[in-house]
Amino acid sequence: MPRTHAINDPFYAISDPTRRALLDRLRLGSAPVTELAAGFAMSRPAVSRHLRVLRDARLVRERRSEHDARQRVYQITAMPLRDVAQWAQSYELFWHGGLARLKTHVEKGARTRAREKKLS
Amino acid sequence: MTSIDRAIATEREVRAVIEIAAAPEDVFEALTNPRELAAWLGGVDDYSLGDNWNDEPTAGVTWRSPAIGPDGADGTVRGEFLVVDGPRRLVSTWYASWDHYERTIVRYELEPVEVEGVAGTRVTVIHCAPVAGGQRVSQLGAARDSWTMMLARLARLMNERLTV
Repeated sequence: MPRTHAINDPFYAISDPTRRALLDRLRLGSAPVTELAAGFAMSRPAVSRHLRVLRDARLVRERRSEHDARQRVYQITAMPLRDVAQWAQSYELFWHGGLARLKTHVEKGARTRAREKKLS
Repeated sequence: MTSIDRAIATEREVRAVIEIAAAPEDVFEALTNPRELAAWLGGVDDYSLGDNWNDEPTAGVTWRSPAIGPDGADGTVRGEFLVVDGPRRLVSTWYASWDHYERTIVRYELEPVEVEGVAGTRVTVIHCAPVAGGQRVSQLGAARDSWTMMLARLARLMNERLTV
């Protein structure tokens, strides 16, 4: 079944290289749309459209600038994604150690059984 | 629940593989016998089993073992076997003390391979955190969605950047 792209679909949002580049930039800190647009070879409205997709997917949020109410400042909202990564890193570490101990434990038992078989 | 919450809820998954120079039957025994689980999961050699221990692992049997947590500290893991298909496949729930006993699922796949010149076993562990209610269990082994892989990569990248 083909995957449909809802407007709030985060997978669709991150499928575009420009939007991934915008997320990369926003990881360094929040920025107004003018500053974000300056880093891309496209018009400011085009960058705004990409930001809207990211916003609809809840990957960024926008607020009005404290200095200039007409300016919109974008900020990454990646905490849920970070939680996913931390869980995965924790269990990668766990299974790295756990499987090494499983190997040592089972191979020790296999050697003992082989020795006993030889003696009997 | 929004689409991003759903995506994240079904995304958490870790895979690990190791090759062991012992038969799949021996490895399966080490995965299902609580005394052996305690030995390799928790580094405890003299683990005593409860009176109600059923030595034949079957679906529905619950287990509990000391375990060395990801940070090296002593912890506890308990679970219930969901699928017991020895010596090839074992699926169990997994509740770890260091995870606030969150319900997760561990699946072991055992494949006979030659290891160091003897008949050995390749063990693949797939550990995932299902959405509430365990819908993910029915999807275990299903083809991975490339978009979820992309999200996982992005999440990792973000984590690296956000923690430096």
